[in-house]
Amino acid sequence: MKSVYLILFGLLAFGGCKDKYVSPYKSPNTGYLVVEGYITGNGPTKFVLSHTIKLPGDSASPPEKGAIVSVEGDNNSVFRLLEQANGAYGIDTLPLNIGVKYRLRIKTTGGKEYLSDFADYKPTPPIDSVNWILHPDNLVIYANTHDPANATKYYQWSYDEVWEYHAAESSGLKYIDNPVSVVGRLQSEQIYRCWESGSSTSIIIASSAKLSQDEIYLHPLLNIPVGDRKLSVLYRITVRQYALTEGAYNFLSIMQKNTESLGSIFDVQPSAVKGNIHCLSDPTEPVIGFVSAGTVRQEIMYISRGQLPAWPYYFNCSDTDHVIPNIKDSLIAYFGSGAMTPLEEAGKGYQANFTNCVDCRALGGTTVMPADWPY
Amino acid sequence: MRLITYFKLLLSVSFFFGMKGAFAQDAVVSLHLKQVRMWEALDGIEKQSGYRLYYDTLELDTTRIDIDVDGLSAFKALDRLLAGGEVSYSVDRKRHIFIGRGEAINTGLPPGYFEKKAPEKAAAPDDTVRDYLEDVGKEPVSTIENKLFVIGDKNVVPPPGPVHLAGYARDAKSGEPVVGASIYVENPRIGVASDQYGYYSITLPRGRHILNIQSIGMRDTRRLIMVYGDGKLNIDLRTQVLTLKKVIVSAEKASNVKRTEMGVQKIDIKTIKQVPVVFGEADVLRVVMTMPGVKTVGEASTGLNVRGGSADQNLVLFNDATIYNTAHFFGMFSAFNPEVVKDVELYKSSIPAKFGGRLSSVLDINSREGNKKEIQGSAGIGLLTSRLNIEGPLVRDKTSFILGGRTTYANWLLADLPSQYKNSRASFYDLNLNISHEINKKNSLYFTGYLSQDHFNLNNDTTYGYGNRNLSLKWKHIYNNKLYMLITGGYDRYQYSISSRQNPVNAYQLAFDINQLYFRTHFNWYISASNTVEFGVNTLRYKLHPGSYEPVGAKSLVVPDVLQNEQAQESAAYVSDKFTITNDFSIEAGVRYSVFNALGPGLVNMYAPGLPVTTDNQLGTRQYSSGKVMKTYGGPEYRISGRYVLTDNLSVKAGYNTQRQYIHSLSNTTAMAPTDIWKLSDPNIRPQHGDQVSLGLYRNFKANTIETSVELYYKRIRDYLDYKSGAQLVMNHHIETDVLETQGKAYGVELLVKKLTGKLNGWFSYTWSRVLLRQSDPNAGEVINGGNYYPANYDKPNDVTAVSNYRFTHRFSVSLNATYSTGRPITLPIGVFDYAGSQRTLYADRNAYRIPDYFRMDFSMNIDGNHRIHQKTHNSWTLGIYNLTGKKNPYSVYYVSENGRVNGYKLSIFGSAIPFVNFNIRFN
Repeated sequence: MKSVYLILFGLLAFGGCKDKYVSPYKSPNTGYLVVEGYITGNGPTKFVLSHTIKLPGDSASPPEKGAIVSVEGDNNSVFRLLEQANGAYGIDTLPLNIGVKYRLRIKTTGGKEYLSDFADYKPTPPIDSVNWILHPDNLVIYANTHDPANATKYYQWSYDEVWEYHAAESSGLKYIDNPVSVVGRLQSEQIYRCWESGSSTSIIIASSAKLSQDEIYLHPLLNIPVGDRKLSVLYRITVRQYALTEGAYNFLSIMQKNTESLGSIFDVQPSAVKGNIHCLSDPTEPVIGFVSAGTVRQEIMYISRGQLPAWPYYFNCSDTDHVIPNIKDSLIAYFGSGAMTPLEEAGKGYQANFTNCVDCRALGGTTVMPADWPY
Repeated sequence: MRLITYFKLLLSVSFFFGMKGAFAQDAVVSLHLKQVRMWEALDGIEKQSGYRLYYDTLELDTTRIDIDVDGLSAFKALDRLLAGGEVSYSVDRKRHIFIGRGEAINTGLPPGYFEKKAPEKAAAPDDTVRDYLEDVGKEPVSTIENKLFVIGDKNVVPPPGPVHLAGYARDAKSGEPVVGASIYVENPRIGVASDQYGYYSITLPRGRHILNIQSIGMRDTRRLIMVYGDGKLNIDLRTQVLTLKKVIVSAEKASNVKRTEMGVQKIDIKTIKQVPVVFGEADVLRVVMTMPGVKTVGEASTGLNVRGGSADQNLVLFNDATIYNTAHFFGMFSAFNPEVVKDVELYKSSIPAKFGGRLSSVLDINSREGNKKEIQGSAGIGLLTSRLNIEGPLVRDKTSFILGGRTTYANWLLADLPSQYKNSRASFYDLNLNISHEINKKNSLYFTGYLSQDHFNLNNDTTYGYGNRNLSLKWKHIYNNKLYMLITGGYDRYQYSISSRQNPVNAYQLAFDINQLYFRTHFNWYISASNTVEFGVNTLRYKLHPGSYEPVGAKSLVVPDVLQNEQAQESAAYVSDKFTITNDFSIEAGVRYSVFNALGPGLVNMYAPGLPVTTDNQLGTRQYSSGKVMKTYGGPEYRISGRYVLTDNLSVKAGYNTQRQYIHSLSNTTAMAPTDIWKLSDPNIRPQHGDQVSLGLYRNFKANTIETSVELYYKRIRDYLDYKSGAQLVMNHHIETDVLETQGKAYGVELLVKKLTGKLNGWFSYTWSRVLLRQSDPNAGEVINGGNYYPANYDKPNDVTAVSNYRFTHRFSVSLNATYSTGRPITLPIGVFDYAGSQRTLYADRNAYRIPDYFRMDFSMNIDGNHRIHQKTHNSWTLGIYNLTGKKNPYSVYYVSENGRVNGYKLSIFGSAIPFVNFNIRFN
């Protein structure tokens, strides 16, 4: 029904509107354990333990540190996950077997013990392809997959993305304050090429349960608005595909409805989500999370600017170059303050422009090239 | 006033002689006149015959006549002269001839005039009701107030006791029935009101009476009647064209103080049209929502919540047809064309025994009957909708029709959508056709056809469509003045479908429909002035297609999935008696026995007894063959109300009623969504049951021009369906595993002050009420809110509404209304956690918080064109501003995860003052 409310936005022309809401109610202390992860044998298994916090959620979620976290098979196998930073527990590889069911056991330093239900170890079929379609307003990246055995039915995807972008102008010079001067910029100090990264923030799930074949065709993973910086130079997306059980799918589907699909006039009322993890010490204590197990499939796709000749990305840098005289006070005033960055020598001074036009880091990226970047 | 003088004379003459005039000898009359006036001819007869003639020249035909008689008796001459006219004559012993309009004046006194007892030798009472109108041959339009109507045959020795007079009150111009006209005599005080067909039946003592007739919007009138026996009298009322300088309202007006029923609100279309609504089109349901005890979850919903009932607990009848979806265009408009509607009656407490099948209320919407005299029409143009309405006689004075249509052109509004939705479309239309036919005075037929359809489409992808289809035919048969019968049959359908074709592999169509075929008989028996009995039998056959999910297009891999059909028979028999014990104390008591049979064919899921109904606890299935009864539910429903008049304008009433509901709407959305589905009770889902006690105090002020009332109620609800967390309601083969039977209670106080006459009119209502539900049975699979009572979605404790209209002149009036209510309950998150790359909200108890309070004020001006009666068109304008203060009333409050963060929003449907304009035109 999400779409229904979108049409209602038409009525915004009539003055309907969406405003920020700050709850006048004081939210209670909850601090329920939140468990997120996926048990897999063909890649790293990682679980993050955190806690629920108060609305509006502007503090960090306190991690559960020092817990003993282990994966147990119904063949009596036990694998301990090692504590990493910030409440993460993981292991690079686990010798898991199809046909065995696995569950997660957590013992906290507070003496509480949590145990998940056993989850089928589901083989995930490979991703057939990740591709993109350019629409008038956005570019949509899709995943396609199918299971010839008709056994998977429920799928989840997550992705990481990295993109390169450039500053408006390239600088071959840099300012140093001791002594106050402008010197040549080394390649390692370049501020023209930047990289930004991100990962999925929404629940991406699909089901073929209503179809005659276990096939997912053109399932949208994300939208990139036309003109977005992500596609200004080179973009890479790494898509991971997980097979789910029906229970895990329903859990995520309800969470998706509760947290992503609200805001229509015909809203389904949000409801409490029940996972498959239970507190053994106190059965009434709610635990958030659903433990699933299976293989993970991965697919990488690049989109380069060359594939999108009409991509209307413009670096918003309206100023033309300025010439800053090579005078100490001027250098300090313009370059020392960081307001401007020198580009190249120009007669008795330096051609320069505002730093946000020259230093790509001003937009939030880093100048460190990712390890496996193609060029 | 010569006639009155003659009348007095007549009475004195009759008193002395006390016998019927009879004469043996006559002088002969010979007249040969051409192109003379009637009185000239009568003059000639008088001179030649020696009889003295009394007449009023105003009553005589004014056309010039020829008369050619030769050697005839005075009576033969008069017979010839007066033949074919409406004037007749009578003679007394003193050779006086009285000539007058209407039935001949009886110059003697009727037998038994002085004694109440019938003579010993009384002939067997004549069962056939003597019909005044039939005597005359042609049905006269009784528009003359000074004429004496003689009811019953003076020559027939009447049976003892009072007599019954019945007939129709009609609009003299259009022939449409006048509903709720007050018909009364002053001494003794006896009064009745005409029913929805304009039909009335009054019991009077024999003798002469002045029958007064009053109705809002009609000129007051009266009839002089001489009642000998049972008879019929149709009364034509003239429309009140000019507003009176002062309004005289009689103490006999059918008022809320006097009627036995309580918790009944009736609103006519005239009042409805005065109330400003968004987009300016008169909206029946929005006006009903201003009544005390009626609430709604918000602007985008036409669902009514009556006294703590959910929207599906209202029986919405449009001329006997059940309307399942009352919303158009995302709930912004109601499904009823205001040009066709006559009035609306809402029963929220004393539900008459003839109605049943829903727990909280009956909303009875009556459409107009078409004009029986001439073709006329009306049209209206608004910002989003237009309507056209044509009515008129098919057979003059016998058969009339009314055809109304409405459509929308809202796409311009959608053009402002973000570009990815610019191809979206939304539209609706509805059509009404009503035909009423009078076969003869005792038999009438009424046909109603209704069709509505909504479509909306999002960027050529998902298409939604839903609509109502209704047909009904009603036969009214009047056995005699005391007994009439209504037989109604019809077919109702509601359907919706959703389809999406964007992704060829997933392209699907989802469809749902509900069909019902019904047959109802209803008898109304006026035993005496103090005792009226209604009884009847209803039966209703349901057939539901609860869902089908089918592939669309060749590439679609969707596996067709069809939920098994549901069918059931719901039947009821009822009897109720309105009994006046003393003038001050009357009781209406009824019982309705309803039976519901869930019928095969069907495969019923069987669950382990005593365990939660979940798929894990399913034991197996049981197949029932076609027509086999799978489960029977039923029981008596009681409807009792009483009224005690404390003083002339103060009364107290109390009532108790019970209700059963066998059909449930399945919706876990707050507003009534177009995609809500309905579910019949079956072996796994029990019917809902409710009962209510209510008490009310009614007081009228200023000669009944101001009505006030206070009503209290307490209601219990059993087995109302709520949903488990994350319930799947669409295409669920085991829906019983996703629903919960909850127990509820609702209580409240309703205050109403109403003034419907005068320059300033309107009403003020205040309601304080609660509705709480509870699901505490751990065996049901899920305990909600720890098994404690929780407020229902529509629990809005305080609700104040004021509706006012001020008429500056009869062509210009302004309306202002204001409403305030507590925000409805909502489930808000109690915390935040990180999952799947984003912060997400944590929910716990249902409906533990509320959205901000609601306030809105609307203003409109109604400007009529000139009121000259004899012109081809009459037009009027409605201009106004909805949400005058521009307050952003949150329709909902929600939290959503966006780019990794949780953000809270208030969604207002109307965030500013919205001006509107509407043009209406009426033409002949």
